[in-house]
Amino acid sequence: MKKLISLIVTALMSLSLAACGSSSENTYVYSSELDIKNLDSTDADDGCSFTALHAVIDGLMTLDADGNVTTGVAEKSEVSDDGLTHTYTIRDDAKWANGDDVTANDFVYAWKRIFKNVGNYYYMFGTGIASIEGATEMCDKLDNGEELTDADFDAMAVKAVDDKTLEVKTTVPVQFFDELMTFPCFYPINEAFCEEQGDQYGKSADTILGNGAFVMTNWEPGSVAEFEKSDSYYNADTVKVDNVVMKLVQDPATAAASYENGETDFAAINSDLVDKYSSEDYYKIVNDGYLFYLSINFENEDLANLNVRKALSLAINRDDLCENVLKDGSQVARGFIPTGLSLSPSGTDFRDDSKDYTSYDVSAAQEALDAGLKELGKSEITLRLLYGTDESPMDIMATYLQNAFSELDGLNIEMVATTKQDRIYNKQKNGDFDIACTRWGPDYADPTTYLTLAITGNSNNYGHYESADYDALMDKVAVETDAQTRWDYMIQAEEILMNDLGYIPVFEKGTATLQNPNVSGLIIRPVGVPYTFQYVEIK
Amino acid sequence: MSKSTLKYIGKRLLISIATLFIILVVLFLMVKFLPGSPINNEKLSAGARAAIEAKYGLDKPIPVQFVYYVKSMLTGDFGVSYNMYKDMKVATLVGKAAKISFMYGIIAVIIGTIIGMALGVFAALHKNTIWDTLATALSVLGVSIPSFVFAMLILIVFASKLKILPTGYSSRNAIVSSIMPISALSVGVIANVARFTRTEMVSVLNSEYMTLAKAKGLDRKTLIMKHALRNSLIPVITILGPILVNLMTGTMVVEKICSVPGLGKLLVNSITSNDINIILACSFLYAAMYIIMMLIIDVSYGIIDPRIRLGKDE
Amino acid sequence: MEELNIEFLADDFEFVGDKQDITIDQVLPSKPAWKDAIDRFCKNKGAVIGLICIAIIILFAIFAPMISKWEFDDINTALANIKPCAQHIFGTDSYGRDLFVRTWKGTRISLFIACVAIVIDVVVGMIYGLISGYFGGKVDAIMQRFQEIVNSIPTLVVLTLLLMVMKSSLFTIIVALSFTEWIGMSRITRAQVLKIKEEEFVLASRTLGASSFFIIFKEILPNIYSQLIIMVMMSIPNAIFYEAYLSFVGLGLPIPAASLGTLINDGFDKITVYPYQMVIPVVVFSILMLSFNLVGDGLRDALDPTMKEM
Repeated sequence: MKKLISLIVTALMSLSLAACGSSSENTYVYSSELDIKNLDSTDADDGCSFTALHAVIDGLMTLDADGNVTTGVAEKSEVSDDGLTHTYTIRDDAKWANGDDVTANDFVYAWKRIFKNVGNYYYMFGTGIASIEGATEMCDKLDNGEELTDADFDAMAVKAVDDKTLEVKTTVPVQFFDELMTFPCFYPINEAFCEEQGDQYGKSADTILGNGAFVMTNWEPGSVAEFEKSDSYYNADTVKVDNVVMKLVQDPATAAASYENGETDFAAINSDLVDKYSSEDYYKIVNDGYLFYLSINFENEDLANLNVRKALSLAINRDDLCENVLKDGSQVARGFIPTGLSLSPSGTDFRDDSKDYTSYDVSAAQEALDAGLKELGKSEITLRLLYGTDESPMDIMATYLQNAFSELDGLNIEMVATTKQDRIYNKQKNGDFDIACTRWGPDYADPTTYLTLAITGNSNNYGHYESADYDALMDKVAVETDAQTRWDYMIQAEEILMNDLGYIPVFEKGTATLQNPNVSGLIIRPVGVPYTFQYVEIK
Repeated sequence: MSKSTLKYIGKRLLISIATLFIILVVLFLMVKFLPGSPINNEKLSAGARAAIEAKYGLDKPIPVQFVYYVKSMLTGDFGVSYNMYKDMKVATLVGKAAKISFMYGIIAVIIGTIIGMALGVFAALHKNTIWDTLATALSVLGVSIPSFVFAMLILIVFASKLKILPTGYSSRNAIVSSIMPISALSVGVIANVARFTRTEMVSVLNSEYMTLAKAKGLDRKTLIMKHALRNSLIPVITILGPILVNLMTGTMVVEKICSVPGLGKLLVNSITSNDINIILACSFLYAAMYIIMMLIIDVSYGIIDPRIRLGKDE
Repeated sequence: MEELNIEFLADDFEFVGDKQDITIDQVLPSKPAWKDAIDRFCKNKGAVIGLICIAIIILFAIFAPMISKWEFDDINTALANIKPCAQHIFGTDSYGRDLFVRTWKGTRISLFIACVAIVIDVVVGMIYGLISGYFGGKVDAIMQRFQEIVNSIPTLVVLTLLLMVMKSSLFTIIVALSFTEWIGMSRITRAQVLKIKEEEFVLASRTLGASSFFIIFKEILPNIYSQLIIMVMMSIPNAIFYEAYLSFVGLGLPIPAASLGTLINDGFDKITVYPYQMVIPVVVFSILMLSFNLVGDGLRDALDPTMKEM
């Protein structure tokens, strides 16, 4: 018996040792909580897919080693004096992995393909965002369920002047246009390759063709994706690792264990595990970009009362929640635009230019509630707090808020637990909620990605917040050509929204991660592509 | 096998197929009534969502969608994923996950049954001794402690502390990375099988036909193997069927902890992301497995215990 | 036949005493069957210990939350993650809630769910299995198909649908439980009935003109007790964990309520950081399960006359 056991143990040891030796020395292993959904830039719509996509494909603009926007496939970006025409000159050495040149037509093809295939992000081309001439008309047609004609496609002002020059016309000056070009839906697609693959384009390692830092060698959905350094990349000398592996590890405790085991170089953990790792040198906090806030249903007559909303906001001890419960680097939300989202023309962060709208004061909260109850003519009110159980840390937020709100006399809280699915697409969409714990991640680095949420009639304005002043200001923001004036309008708009408490911001999510201290150069951004592997270096 | 037996099996097969069809209808209606739209990017406008739904034919009446689904299903096409792996073929996705889950489930059940039965028989033969108590305690513990706790314990001990097992699944290293999930899965099987075997063995050993067999002078080995064990098998098989189906179709928690790309995780993730084609395919596979298992159990009853004759159902 | 030639000797016999003694029967006090069963149960040490444990756990579950000065849902982050000590016997969780109160509060819910599971098992599962197994033929075929259909639809799909019409609450859990809980029981019952109904005593009873109702409940049921009791005992942990699973998919108890299942689930995430947060509820849970199993074994031995001498 003893012999048998020792035999098994030896066999195991030798097998596992064999396993360790399989990957090469210079491999960066990144573990992800979510899976890659898609590598077709027409359809990709989540951070993890963006990360994988950007490992393979570069857009017109990309990020430098410090994480700032710089030229990518384009060697030059020019804007006309009226700010309406953007001209990009494509590098001569930009090549697809199969040796083809990257041409201006690859962009024209990719961008039109989004409309042709009704890709998730076609609205990014329309008014308010990229505002490309002719795109808004196509967006409207798609929104109304109409067929697009060839004339519609031709009307979109994206033109390949020659093989290496791309010209884009916008209806209004878009200050963040270059920044937008780093977003995956604006990536190029090699037309010949894509047509050859048909509907399988971007669905496996064999059916994706890139022009970027890496080439995908293997992809097993639900498990792992592997990349190898690309030799044909125009910036190949910036790429220091030979291989990158993206591994799907859903359970944070397992992710932490595999990091400790040396199987991975990067792992995201959750609040539960922070205490164990926070003093380690490989523990790092990352800005997630998400704003967690409360969506208020204005159809509810109790919540339509400003004093009741004030009471709710004042009753939340955001410092305590972030410091002592979440502990993952989340910060107190001081307004509706998160810190680090965008910079003013003079280079200051939106939050620093704007005021602080949140504070914690239980007695003031009680006073506000009493005043509100008096105005309503009620002795107590009951509100339902909706939250999703499958979207961590929404459960932590809900637990904390339930307790905080219950401290107030005259306010009863009824908890409604559900799934994220049901919360958004059933309950919130149909107005079947009072207060909902929800979150929003930025699509692009401009405050409007948040501010549009409060415009009357916006499809994500589930609580039906309505303010004529706010709408008027946002109309001005959409057409204003002067960057500084536009910035000031947005600051005023946020002030209206926050004084009305149209939404109640709670915290800006951070992520606690374990990162190999011998690795440098991982670029992390809260907007667009979350992780860029190009500059990763292992010492 | 006699003609009537074959006829019976054929008839049962037809009934099973009919049952499966009913299940498909029920499942289809269920997923269609799931809250929200399968196209669920929060950032899409209502119009954009409608446009994408139209692209997939989701705007057509449900009966039309059903006929279309069944037609393509018969050709092996289970549609495409709407969310999780956008536009990828569901048949491929589910097929890959099923391969892993089936293998894990079958191995875990085989290991679990062998150890569990041995433990149960051992306990029954040493009834009321310290061995019996020990074996019973082990199996009770196995039932009382959830499998994810075991998975976590194995992970902490063998992967984190001793570092002899990898923490997660890897197709490059399939055998070693399978040890952890399979052990975690088989614990529950061992415990359940051991308990049932013991109880049944004890009652069989005390029956009069066993006394008779003993009196006839049969040796102990034949006695236990041919008479006692055979007669104790029925309840064990009864519980084994569902256990096998459950394990083969994947157990979400163990798969999550051990990072196994199996069916259980696929189903749960598809439900939380409302990916209806994957939900349908996974659920239908589960149903089909279950129905097949019922068929096998019913047939094997007759083989193990001739008193439950197949013809009796008629 | 060989002729017998037996010779008796004097010392072949022994004097047994006064003849009058022999004629007097030794009469044991007459006992009803249930009293007999209780006596047998009390002789089983394990079963008695199990029963005592359950009683203690029930007492704690009822009184501990009443007596303690801590509230089960009072968040105070200054007290977060305190290891078990005199103030907080089981420590506190990451919100600073007292785990002693939460554990016993949770035990209450779990015990309640266990009771509901038993009721569903017995009322629905057992009767379904008895009818299906006894009558056989068409009845059995139809009932089996129905059961197959219900059982082959993954519960999670059903649950997500349930969510649409119901809010998550204890009641929803019971509805969800009743959807699938009875199936295991009915299958075991049916299998047992199939085995028993061919036995001679059933045939005898039928020949004597007993009604089906009589045969099912008076002849068959008493003979399949042992398996059924084990099944009930096995379904209790299933039911309690089912509840934990429900809270995982969003159908469970809403915040801030606790059950043993949710406590284990929550503690599980922190097992490498604060092991006591999971170990304590697991221990309570396991003791509860162990006790249920011991009591179950004791009951089986006591109730089933064929098992008592084993």
